[in-house]
Amino acid sequence: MTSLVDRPVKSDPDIFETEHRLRQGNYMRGESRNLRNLLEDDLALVVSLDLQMDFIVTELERLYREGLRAYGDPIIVNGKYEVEVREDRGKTPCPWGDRFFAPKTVVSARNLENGTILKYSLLGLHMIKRHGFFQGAQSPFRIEPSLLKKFFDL
Amino acid sequence: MVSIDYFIPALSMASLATSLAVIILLAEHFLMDYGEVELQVNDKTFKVKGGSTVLGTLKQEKIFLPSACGGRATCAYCKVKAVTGFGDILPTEAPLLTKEEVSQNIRLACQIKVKNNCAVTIPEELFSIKEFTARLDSVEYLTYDIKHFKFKLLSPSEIDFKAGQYVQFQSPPYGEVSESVYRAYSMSGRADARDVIELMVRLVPEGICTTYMFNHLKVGHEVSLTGPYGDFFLRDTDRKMVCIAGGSGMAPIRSILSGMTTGDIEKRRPVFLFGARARRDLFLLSEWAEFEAKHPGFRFIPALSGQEPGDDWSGETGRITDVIAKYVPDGRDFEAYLCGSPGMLNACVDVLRNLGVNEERIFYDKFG
Repeated sequence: MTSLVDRPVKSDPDIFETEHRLRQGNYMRGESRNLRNLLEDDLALVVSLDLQMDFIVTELERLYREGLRAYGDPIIVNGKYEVEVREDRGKTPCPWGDRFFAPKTVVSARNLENGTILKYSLLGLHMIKRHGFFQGAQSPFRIEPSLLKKFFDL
Repeated sequence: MVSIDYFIPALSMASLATSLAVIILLAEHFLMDYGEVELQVNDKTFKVKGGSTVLGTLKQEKIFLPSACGGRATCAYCKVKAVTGFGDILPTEAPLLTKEEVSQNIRLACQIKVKNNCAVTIPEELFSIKEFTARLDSVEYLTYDIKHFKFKLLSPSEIDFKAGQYVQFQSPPYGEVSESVYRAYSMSGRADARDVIELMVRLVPEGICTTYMFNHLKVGHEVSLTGPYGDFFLRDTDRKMVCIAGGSGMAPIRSILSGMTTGDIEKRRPVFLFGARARRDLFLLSEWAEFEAKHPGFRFIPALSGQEPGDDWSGETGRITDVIAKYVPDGRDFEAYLCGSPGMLNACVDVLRNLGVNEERIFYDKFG
Protein backbone atom coordinates (compact mmCIF):
# COMPACT_ATOMS: atom_id res chain seq x y z
CA MET A 1 0.00 0.00 0.00
CA THR A 2 1.41 3.37 -0.88
CA SER A 3 0.59 6.62 0.80
CA LEU A 4 0.58 8.21 -2.63
CA VAL A 5 -2.58 6.64 -3.87
CA ASP A 6 -4.57 7.60 -0.78
CA ARG A 7 -4.14 11.33 -1.23
CA PRO A 8 -6.22 12.11 -4.26
CA VAL A 9 -9.50 10.64 -3.17
CA LYS A 10 -9.45 12.62 0.02
CA SER A 11 -8.59 15.82 -1.82
CA ASP A 12 -11.41 15.59 -4.29
CA PRO A 13 -14.65 14.51 -2.73
CA ASP A 14 -16.85 15.58 -5.65
CA ILE A 15 -16.10 12.54 -7.71
CA PHE A 16 -19.14 12.77 -9.99
CA GLU A 17 -18.22 16.23 -11.21
CA THR A 18 -14.63 15.10 -11.64
CA GLU A 19 -15.66 12.05 -13.62
CA HIS A 20 -17.72 14.26 -15.91
CA ARG A 21 -14.71 16.46 -16.59
CA LEU A 22 -12.44 13.46 -17.11
CA ARG A 23 -14.81 11.93 -19.62
CA GLN A 24 -15.21 15.25 -21.46
CA GLY A 25 -11.46 15.55 -21.73
CA ASN A 26 -11.03 11.99 -23.03
CA TYR A 27 -9.12 10.91 -19.93
CA MET A 28 -11.48 7.97 -19.43
CA ARG A 29 -11.67 6.83 -23.02
CA GLY A 30 -13.07 3.36 -23.43
CA GLU A 31 -14.06 3.06 -19.79
CA SER A 32 -17.33 1.42 -18.84
CA ARG A 33 -16.25 1.53 -15.18
CA ASN A 34 -17.07 4.62 -13.19
CA LEU A 35 -14.25 6.68 -11.75
CA ARG A 36 -14.55 5.17 -8.32
CA ASN A 37 -14.23 1.63 -9.67
CA LEU A 38 -11.41 2.61 -11.98
CA LEU A 39 -9.48 4.14 -9.09
CA GLU A 40 -10.14 1.08 -6.94
CA ASP A 41 -9.06 -1.34 -9.66
CA ASP A 42 -5.84 0.53 -10.39
CA LEU A 43 -5.10 0.85 -6.71
CA ALA A 44 -5.50 -2.91 -6.36
CA LEU A 45 -3.25 -3.41 -9.36
CA VAL A 46 -0.56 -1.18 -7.87
CA VAL A 47 -0.73 -3.11 -4.61
CA SER A 48 -0.66 -6.52 -6.29
CA LEU A 49 2.38 -5.50 -8.33
CA ASP A 50 4.00 -4.15 -5.17
CA LEU A 51 4.78 -0.86 -6.89
CA GLN A 52 6.28 1.82 -4.68
CA MET A 53 4.60 4.73 -6.39
CA ASP A 54 6.55 7.43 -4.59
CA PHE A 55 9.76 5.96 -6.04
CA ILE A 56 8.25 5.57 -9.50
CA VAL A 57 6.89 9.12 -9.62
CA THR A 58 10.26 10.47 -8.49
CA GLU A 59 12.00 8.51 -11.24
CA LEU A 60 9.53 9.64 -13.92
CA GLU A 61 10.06 13.25 -12.84
CA ARG A 62 13.81 12.75 -12.98
CA LEU A 63 13.68 11.30 -16.50
CA TYR A 64 11.62 14.32 -17.56
CA ARG A 65 14.08 16.78 -16.05
CA GLU A 66 17.07 15.04 -17.62
CA GLY A 67 15.32 14.83 -20.98
CA LEU A 68 14.41 18.49 -20.89
CA ARG A 69 18.08 19.39 -21.09
CA ALA A 70 18.24 18.09 -24.67
CA TYR A 71 15.59 20.53 -26.04
CA GLY A 72 13.69 17.85 -27.91
CA ASP A 73 16.58 15.57 -28.84
CA PRO A 74 16.96 12.07 -27.42
CA ILE A 75 19.31 11.83 -24.46
CA ILE A 76 20.68 8.82 -22.61
CA VAL A 77 20.03 8.89 -18.87
CA ASN A 78 22.13 6.73 -16.52
CA GLY A 79 23.31 4.74 -19.53
CA LYS A 80 20.03 2.84 -19.34
CA TYR A 81 17.18 5.00 -20.58
CA GLU A 82 16.81 6.89 -23.83
CA VAL A 83 14.58 9.88 -23.12
CA GLU A 84 13.01 12.39 -25.45
CA VAL A 85 10.92 15.30 -24.21
CA ARG A 86 8.57 17.02 -26.56
CA GLU A 87 7.30 20.42 -25.47
CA ASP A 88 4.45 22.24 -27.15
CA ARG A 89 3.28 25.69 -26.27
CA GLY A 90 0.38 26.11 -23.93
CA LYS A 91 -0.82 24.51 -20.73
CA THR A 92 -3.58 22.06 -19.90
CA PRO A 93 -5.61 22.49 -16.71
CA CYS A 94 -5.84 19.40 -14.54
CA PRO A 95 -9.39 18.04 -14.97
CA TRP A 96 -9.51 17.22 -11.26
CA GLY A 97 -10.04 20.93 -10.68
CA ASP A 98 -7.02 21.45 -8.45
CA ARG A 99 -5.85 24.51 -10.40
CA PHE A 100 -2.77 22.74 -11.64
CA PHE A 101 -1.72 23.71 -15.16
CA ALA A 102 0.47 21.16 -16.87
CA PRO A 103 2.77 22.26 -19.68
CA LYS A 104 1.90 20.41 -22.88
CA THR A 105 4.84 18.10 -22.58
CA VAL A 106 5.18 14.46 -23.51
CA VAL A 107 8.07 12.26 -22.38
CA SER A 108 9.01 9.23 -24.46
CA ALA A 109 11.42 6.89 -22.73
CA ARG A 110 12.95 3.54 -23.67
CA ASN A 111 14.69 1.12 -21.38
CA LEU A 112 17.74 0.27 -23.49
CA GLU A 113 18.32 -3.01 -21.67
CA ASN A 114 14.90 -4.62 -22.07
CA GLY A 115 13.40 -2.45 -24.84
CA THR A 116 10.33 -1.37 -22.85
CA ILE A 117 8.90 1.90 -24.08
CA LEU A 118 7.00 4.31 -21.83
CA LYS A 119 5.22 7.44 -22.99
CA TYR A 120 3.70 9.87 -20.52
CA SER A 121 2.46 13.42 -20.38
CA LEU A 122 3.23 15.79 -17.55
CA LEU A 123 -0.47 16.04 -16.87
CA GLY A 124 -0.69 12.27 -16.69
CA LEU A 125 2.20 12.19 -14.26
CA HIS A 126 0.55 14.84 -12.11
CA MET A 127 -2.74 12.92 -12.08
CA ILE A 128 -0.97 9.80 -10.85
CA LYS A 129 1.00 11.70 -8.27
CA ARG A 130 -1.81 13.81 -6.85
CA HIS A 131 -4.94 11.83 -7.65
CA GLY A 132 -3.87 8.21 -8.06
CA PHE A 133 -5.46 8.33 -11.51
CA PHE A 134 -3.79 6.34 -14.28
CA GLN A 135 -6.47 7.28 -16.90
CA GLY A 136 -8.92 5.09 -18.78
CA ALA A 137 -8.04 1.84 -20.47
CA GLN A 138 -7.98 3.37 -23.95
CA SER A 139 -6.82 6.85 -23.05
CA PRO A 140 -3.81 7.79 -25.14
CA PHE A 141 -1.67 8.62 -22.14
CA ARG A 142 -2.73 5.92 -19.72
CA ILE A 143 0.27 4.64 -17.84
CA GLU A 144 -0.27 0.93 -17.27
CA PRO A 145 1.02 -0.09 -13.82
CA SER A 146 2.36 -3.37 -15.20
CA LEU A 147 4.33 -1.42 -17.81
CA LEU A 148 5.92 0.66 -15.05
CA LYS A 149 7.06 -2.51 -13.33
CA LYS A 150 8.68 -3.77 -16.53
CA PHE A 151 10.14 -0.39 -17.49
CA PHE A 152 11.91 0.03 -14.18
CA ASP A 153 12.90 -3.65 -13.90
CA LEU A 154 11.07 -4.01 -10.59
CA MET B 1 -5.66 -1.38 1.99
CA VAL B 2 -7.72 1.76 2.42
CA SER B 3 -11.23 1.62 1.01
CA ILE B 4 -12.57 4.44 -1.06
CA ASP B 5 -15.79 4.35 0.95
CA TYR B 6 -14.36 6.66 3.59
CA PHE B 7 -14.90 9.72 1.44
CA ILE B 8 -18.62 9.10 0.90
CA PRO B 9 -19.76 11.47 3.69
CA ALA B 10 -17.64 14.25 2.25
CA LEU B 11 -19.03 13.42 -1.16
CA SER B 12 -22.59 13.85 0.11
CA MET B 13 -21.75 17.26 1.53
CA ALA B 14 -20.09 18.27 -1.71
CA SER B 15 -23.07 17.10 -3.74
CA LEU B 16 -25.36 19.15 -1.50
CA ALA B 17 -23.17 22.20 -1.96
CA THR B 18 -23.09 21.65 -5.71
CA SER B 19 -26.87 21.29 -5.81
CA LEU B 20 -27.32 24.53 -3.87
CA ALA B 21 -24.93 26.33 -6.20
CA VAL B 22 -26.90 25.08 -9.21
CA ILE B 23 -30.18 26.24 -7.64
CA ILE B 24 -28.70 29.68 -6.95
CA LEU B 25 -27.39 29.95 -10.51
CA LEU B 26 -30.75 28.89 -11.96
CA ALA B 27 -32.58 31.33 -9.71
CA GLU B 28 -30.22 34.10 -10.73
CA HIS B 29 -30.71 33.23 -14.38
CA PHE B 30 -34.49 33.10 -14.31
CA LEU B 31 -35.47 35.43 -11.48
CA MET B 32 -32.84 38.15 -11.34
CA ASP B 33 -33.24 40.94 -13.87
CA TYR B 34 -30.42 43.42 -13.65
CA GLY B 35 -31.90 45.49 -16.47
CA GLU B 36 -29.78 47.84 -18.51
CA VAL B 37 -26.58 49.01 -16.88
CA GLU B 38 -23.57 51.03 -17.92
CA LEU B 39 -20.24 49.32 -18.46
CA GLN B 40 -17.34 51.69 -18.84
CA VAL B 41 -14.30 50.34 -20.63
CA ASN B 42 -11.38 52.77 -20.53
CA ASP B 43 -12.97 56.00 -21.81
CA LYS B 44 -15.88 54.34 -23.61
CA THR B 45 -19.28 53.70 -22.03
CA PHE B 46 -21.62 50.95 -23.19
CA LYS B 47 -25.24 50.45 -22.21
CA VAL B 48 -25.53 46.70 -21.75
CA LYS B 49 -27.90 44.10 -20.38
CA GLY B 50 -26.76 43.19 -16.89
CA GLY B 51 -26.18 39.68 -15.60
CA SER B 52 -23.47 38.30 -17.85
CA THR B 53 -19.75 38.04 -17.29
CA VAL B 54 -17.53 40.91 -18.33
CA LEU B 55 -15.95 38.62 -20.92
CA GLY B 56 -19.30 37.73 -22.48
CA THR B 57 -20.64 41.27 -22.26
CA LEU B 58 -17.56 42.70 -23.96
CA LYS B 59 -17.85 40.09 -26.69
CA GLN B 60 -21.41 41.29 -27.33
CA GLU B 61 -19.92 44.75 -27.79
CA LYS B 62 -17.34 43.31 -30.22
CA ILE B 63 -14.47 43.68 -27.80
CA PHE B 64 -12.54 40.42 -27.79
CA LEU B 65 -10.32 39.72 -24.82
CA PRO B 66 -7.84 36.86 -25.18
CA SER B 67 -9.40 33.66 -23.87
CA ALA B 68 -8.39 30.08 -24.50
CA CYS B 69 -10.59 28.18 -22.06
CA GLY B 70 -14.04 29.37 -23.03
CA GLY B 71 -14.62 31.23 -19.77
CA ARG B 72 -13.89 28.35 -17.38
CA ALA B 73 -11.24 30.19 -15.36
CA THR B 74 -8.38 28.02 -16.40
CA CYS B 75 -6.31 29.96 -18.95
CA ALA B 76 -6.18 33.33 -17.13
CA TYR B 77 -5.75 35.21 -20.41
CA CYS B 78 -8.78 37.48 -19.89
CA LYS B 79 -7.44 39.69 -17.13
CA VAL B 80 -8.88 43.19 -16.78
CA LYS B 81 -8.43 45.90 -14.21
CA ALA B 82 -11.64 46.36 -12.22
CA VAL B 83 -12.20 50.03 -11.47
CA THR B 84 -15.65 50.07 -9.85
CA GLY B 85 -18.69 47.86 -9.45
CA PHE B 86 -17.25 44.45 -8.60
CA GLY B 87 -17.05 42.62 -5.30
CA ASP B 88 -14.31 40.63 -3.68
CA ILE B 89 -12.04 38.21 -5.48
CA LEU B 90 -13.97 35.01 -6.21
CA PRO B 91 -12.68 31.57 -5.20
CA THR B 92 -12.44 30.67 -8.87
CA GLU B 93 -10.17 33.63 -9.56
CA ALA B 94 -7.86 33.50 -6.56
CA PRO B 95 -5.54 30.70 -7.72
CA LEU B 96 -4.90 32.49 -11.00
CA LEU B 97 -4.01 35.92 -9.63
CA THR B 98 -0.73 36.98 -8.07
CA LYS B 99 -0.65 39.06 -4.89
CA GLU B 100 0.48 42.01 -6.96
CA GLU B 101 -2.43 41.56 -9.37
CA VAL B 102 -4.90 41.34 -6.50
CA SER B 103 -3.49 44.57 -5.04
CA GLN B 104 -3.99 46.22 -8.44
CA ASN B 105 -7.60 45.01 -8.71
CA ILE B 106 -6.82 42.74 -11.63
CA ARG B 107 -9.68 40.31 -12.18
CA LEU B 108 -10.69 37.52 -14.54
CA ALA B 109 -13.25 38.88 -16.99
CA CYS B 110 -14.75 35.42 -17.42
CA GLN B 111 -15.70 35.26 -13.73
CA ILE B 112 -16.85 38.73 -12.69
CA LYS B 113 -20.34 39.77 -13.71
CA VAL B 114 -21.87 43.02 -14.86
CA LYS B 115 -24.70 43.48 -12.33
CA ASN B 116 -24.73 47.24 -11.93
CA ASN B 117 -22.94 50.27 -13.32
CA CYS B 118 -19.28 49.30 -13.39
CA ALA B 119 -15.97 50.11 -15.00
CA VAL B 120 -12.93 48.18 -16.17
CA THR B 121 -9.77 49.11 -18.00
CA ILE B 122 -8.11 46.97 -20.65
CA PRO B 123 -5.03 47.47 -22.81
CA GLU B 124 -5.97 49.97 -25.52
CA GLU B 125 -4.83 47.67 -28.33
CA LEU B 126 -7.55 45.15 -27.45
CA PHE B 127 -10.11 47.49 -29.02
CA SER B 128 -8.65 46.66 -32.42
CA ILE B 129 -9.21 42.92 -32.03
CA LYS B 130 -11.91 41.52 -34.27
CA GLU B 131 -13.65 38.24 -34.87
CA PHE B 132 -13.06 36.94 -38.39
CA THR B 133 -14.76 34.39 -40.54
CA ALA B 134 -12.27 32.89 -42.95
CA ARG B 135 -12.16 30.14 -45.55
CA LEU B 136 -9.32 27.66 -45.81
CA ASP B 137 -7.87 28.21 -49.28
CA SER B 138 -4.85 25.95 -49.17
CA VAL B 139 -3.00 23.60 -46.88
CA GLU B 140 0.31 21.82 -47.37
CA TYR B 141 2.75 19.77 -45.35
CA LEU B 142 5.97 21.61 -44.53
CA THR B 143 7.38 18.61 -42.66
CA TYR B 144 5.90 15.32 -41.53
CA ASP B 145 4.21 17.08 -38.57
CA ILE B 146 3.94 20.75 -39.54
CA LYS B 147 1.31 22.11 -41.91
CA HIS B 148 1.00 25.50 -43.57
CA PHE B 149 -2.59 26.79 -43.64
CA LYS B 150 -3.64 29.74 -45.76
CA PHE B 151 -7.02 31.32 -44.96
CA LYS B 152 -8.88 33.89 -47.05
CA LEU B 153 -10.67 36.40 -44.84
CA LEU B 154 -14.38 36.70 -45.60
CA SER B 155 -15.81 38.92 -42.87
CA PRO B 156 -14.29 41.31 -42.10
CA SER B 157 -12.29 40.96 -45.30
CA GLU B 158 -9.07 42.49 -43.99
CA ILE B 159 -6.92 42.31 -40.87
CA ASP B 160 -4.58 44.97 -39.62
CA PHE B 161 -1.74 43.34 -37.68
CA LYS B 162 1.90 43.76 -36.80
CA ALA B 163 4.19 41.04 -38.10
CA GLY B 164 4.86 38.65 -35.20
CA GLN B 165 1.39 38.82 -33.64
CA TYR B 166 -0.94 35.86 -33.22
CA VAL B 167 -4.59 34.93 -33.69
CA GLN B 168 -6.82 32.59 -31.75
CA PHE B 169 -8.27 29.79 -33.83
CA GLN B 170 -11.60 28.29 -32.85
CA SER B 171 -11.81 24.55 -33.19
CA PRO B 172 -15.49 23.49 -33.29
CA PRO B 173 -16.88 20.34 -31.66
CA TYR B 174 -16.01 17.19 -33.64
CA GLY B 175 -15.98 13.48 -33.02
CA GLU B 176 -15.86 12.89 -29.27
CA VAL B 177 -14.94 16.53 -28.62
CA SER B 178 -18.12 18.20 -27.42
CA GLU B 179 -16.96 21.79 -26.96
CA SER B 180 -15.25 24.48 -28.99
CA VAL B 181 -11.69 25.23 -27.97
CA TYR B 182 -9.47 28.18 -28.80
CA ARG B 183 -5.74 27.99 -29.44
CA ALA B 184 -3.21 30.68 -30.22
CA TYR B 185 -1.11 30.51 -33.39
CA SER B 186 1.36 33.05 -34.69
CA MET B 187 0.66 34.42 -38.13
CA SER B 188 3.38 33.58 -40.62
CA GLY B 189 2.46 35.77 -43.58
CA ARG B 190 3.31 39.34 -44.44
CA ALA B 191 1.38 41.98 -42.56
CA ASP B 192 0.64 43.86 -45.78
CA ALA B 193 -1.26 40.87 -47.21
CA ARG B 194 -4.35 41.99 -45.33
CA ASP B 195 -6.91 39.62 -46.78
CA VAL B 196 -5.02 36.46 -45.87
CA ILE B 197 -4.01 34.77 -42.63
CA GLU B 198 -1.22 32.19 -42.83
CA LEU B 199 -0.48 29.78 -39.99
CA MET B 200 2.19 27.13 -39.48
CA VAL B 201 0.89 24.51 -37.10
CA ARG B 202 2.67 21.52 -35.60
CA LEU B 203 0.54 18.52 -34.77
CA VAL B 204 0.31 18.08 -31.01
CA PRO B 205 -0.16 14.41 -30.07
CA GLU B 206 -3.80 14.08 -28.94
CA GLY B 207 -4.17 17.88 -29.17
CA ILE B 208 -7.82 18.84 -29.65
CA CYS B 209 -7.27 21.81 -31.93
CA THR B 210 -4.35 20.54 -34.00
CA THR B 211 -6.07 17.18 -34.52
CA TYR B 212 -9.06 19.10 -35.87
CA MET B 213 -6.84 21.17 -38.14
CA PHE B 214 -4.84 18.20 -39.43
CA ASN B 215 -7.58 15.58 -39.75
CA HIS B 216 -10.91 17.35 -40.11
CA LEU B 217 -10.38 20.81 -41.59
CA LYS B 218 -10.56 20.75 -45.39
CA VAL B 219 -10.00 23.31 -48.12
CA GLY B 220 -13.20 25.34 -48.52
CA HIS B 221 -14.28 25.01 -44.87
CA GLU B 222 -15.08 28.21 -43.00
CA VAL B 223 -13.50 28.88 -39.62
CA SER B 224 -13.60 31.51 -36.91
CA LEU B 225 -10.57 33.40 -35.64
CA THR B 226 -10.01 36.40 -33.40
CA GLY B 227 -7.06 38.72 -33.35
CA PRO B 228 -4.56 40.16 -33.67
CA TYR B 229 -3.04 39.62 -30.23
CA GLY B 230 0.37 39.94 -28.68
CA ASP B 231 3.29 42.23 -28.17
CA PHE B 232 5.79 40.15 -30.12
CA PHE B 233 6.65 42.33 -33.10
CA LEU B 234 9.62 44.11 -34.63
CA ARG B 235 10.86 47.04 -32.59
CA ASP B 236 11.65 50.20 -34.51
CA THR B 237 15.36 50.51 -33.76
CA ASP B 238 18.66 50.38 -35.65
CA ARG B 239 20.10 47.49 -33.66
CA LYS B 240 21.42 44.31 -35.22
CA MET B 241 18.97 41.43 -35.06
CA VAL B 242 19.27 37.79 -34.20
CA CYS B 243 16.15 35.67 -34.70
CA ILE B 244 16.05 32.17 -33.23
CA ALA B 245 13.36 29.57 -33.80
CA GLY B 246 12.67 25.88 -34.05
CA GLY B 247 9.82 23.98 -35.71
CA SER B 248 6.62 25.95 -36.21
CA GLY B 249 8.29 28.77 -34.29
CA MET B 250 9.44 29.87 -37.71
CA ALA B 251 5.98 31.40 -38.26
CA PRO B 252 6.28 34.83 -36.61
CA ILE B 253 9.94 35.19 -37.60
CA ARG B 254 8.98 34.65 -41.24
CA SER B 255 6.26 37.26 -40.87
CA ILE B 256 8.67 39.77 -39.34
CA LEU B 257 11.58 39.25 -41.73
CA SER B 258 9.53 39.10 -44.90
CA GLY B 259 7.94 42.42 -44.05
CA MET B 260 11.21 44.30 -43.52
CA THR B 261 12.32 46.76 -46.16
CA THR B 262 15.57 46.24 -48.05
CA GLY B 263 16.96 49.31 -46.30
CA ASP B 264 16.10 47.96 -42.85
CA ILE B 265 17.65 44.58 -43.63
CA GLU B 266 20.89 46.18 -44.81
CA LYS B 267 20.95 48.37 -41.72
CA ARG B 268 20.05 45.72 -39.13
CA ARG B 269 21.81 42.74 -40.72
CA PRO B 270 19.39 40.10 -39.35
CA VAL B 271 20.61 36.56 -38.86
CA PHE B 272 18.00 33.81 -38.47
CA LEU B 273 19.20 30.77 -36.52
CA PHE B 274 16.86 27.84 -37.05
CA GLY B 275 17.26 24.73 -34.93
CA ALA B 276 16.17 21.28 -36.11
CA ARG B 277 17.09 17.75 -35.29
CA ALA B 278 17.51 16.32 -38.77
CA ARG B 279 17.18 17.39 -42.36
CA ARG B 280 13.57 16.18 -42.48
CA ASP B 281 12.72 18.84 -39.85
CA LEU B 282 13.88 21.67 -42.11
CA PHE B 283 11.46 23.46 -44.41
CA LEU B 284 11.13 26.47 -46.70
CA LEU B 285 14.86 26.23 -47.45
CA SER B 286 14.45 27.51 -51.01
CA GLU B 287 12.35 30.43 -49.80
CA TRP B 288 15.08 31.46 -47.35
CA ALA B 289 17.76 30.97 -50.01
CA GLU B 290 15.87 33.34 -52.29
CA PHE B 291 15.50 35.82 -49.44
CA GLU B 292 19.24 35.67 -48.81
CA ALA B 293 19.98 36.21 -52.47
CA LYS B 294 17.68 39.22 -52.55
CA HIS B 295 19.05 40.69 -49.31
CA PRO B 296 22.83 40.29 -48.90
CA GLY B 297 22.55 41.65 -45.35
CA PHE B 298 20.48 38.66 -44.25
CA ARG B 299 21.66 35.19 -43.28
CA PHE B 300 19.62 32.06 -42.68
CA ILE B 301 21.54 29.55 -40.55
CA PRO B 302 19.89 26.17 -40.01
CA ALA B 303 21.58 23.93 -37.47
CA LEU B 304 21.02 20.19 -37.07
CA SER B 305 21.41 18.68 -33.64
CA GLY B 306 21.18 15.01 -34.60
CA GLN B 307 21.54 13.98 -38.21
CA GLU B 308 19.95 10.90 -39.73
CA PRO B 309 21.55 8.49 -42.19
CA GLY B 310 21.66 10.09 -45.64
CA ASP B 311 21.29 13.64 -44.39
CA ASP B 312 24.56 14.68 -46.08
CA TRP B 313 24.72 17.90 -44.10
CA SER B 314 27.53 20.42 -44.34
CA GLY B 315 25.88 23.24 -42.40
CA GLU B 316 26.00 24.06 -38.70
CA THR B 317 25.63 21.19 -36.28
CA GLY B 318 24.75 21.01 -32.61
CA ARG B 319 21.95 22.47 -30.58
CA ILE B 320 20.89 25.96 -31.48
CA THR B 321 22.24 27.21 -28.16
CA ASP B 322 25.70 26.01 -29.24
CA VAL B 323 25.55 28.05 -32.43
CA ILE B 324 24.40 31.42 -31.12
CA ALA B 325 27.79 32.75 -29.96
CA LYS B 326 29.31 32.37 -33.41
CA TYR B 327 26.76 34.76 -34.88
CA VAL B 328 26.33 37.09 -31.91
CA PRO B 329 29.92 38.03 -31.14
CA ASP B 330 28.98 41.03 -29.02
CA GLY B 331 25.48 40.85 -27.60
CA ARG B 332 25.43 44.50 -26.61
CA ASP B 333 24.74 45.42 -30.25
CA PHE B 334 21.85 43.02 -30.67
CA GLU B 335 18.11 42.69 -30.33
CA ALA B 336 16.80 39.11 -30.21
CA TYR B 337 13.50 37.68 -31.47
CA LEU B 338 12.73 34.13 -30.37
CA CYS B 339 9.98 31.60 -30.97
CA GLY B 340 9.97 27.93 -30.06
CA SER B 341 9.39 25.46 -27.26
CA PRO B 342 9.51 26.81 -23.70
CA GLY B 343 12.66 24.86 -22.88
CA MET B 344 14.49 26.09 -25.95
CA LEU B 345 13.38 29.66 -25.29
CA ASN B 346 14.64 29.61 -21.72
CA ALA B 347 17.99 28.16 -22.76
CA CYS B 348 18.42 30.71 -25.55
CA VAL B 349 17.57 33.59 -23.23
CA ASP B 350 20.31 32.39 -20.86
CA VAL B 351 22.87 32.17 -23.66
CA LEU B 352 21.93 35.57 -25.07
CA ARG B 353 22.13 37.17 -21.65
CA ASN B 354 25.57 35.69 -21.11
CA LEU B 355 26.62 37.12 -24.46
CA GLY B 356 25.65 40.57 -23.29
CA VAL B 357 22.23 41.00 -24.89
CA ASN B 358 20.17 43.27 -22.69
CA GLU B 359 17.23 41.23 -21.38
CA GLU B 360 14.84 44.04 -22.31
CA ARG B 361 15.88 43.52 -25.91
CA ILE B 362 15.01 39.83 -25.97
CA PHE B 363 11.50 39.37 -27.32
CA TYR B 364 9.38 36.23 -27.51
CA ASP B 365 5.77 35.10 -27.50
CA LYS B 366 4.39 34.94 -24.01
CA PHE B 367 1.58 32.53 -24.78
CA GLY B 368 3.71 29.43 -24.15
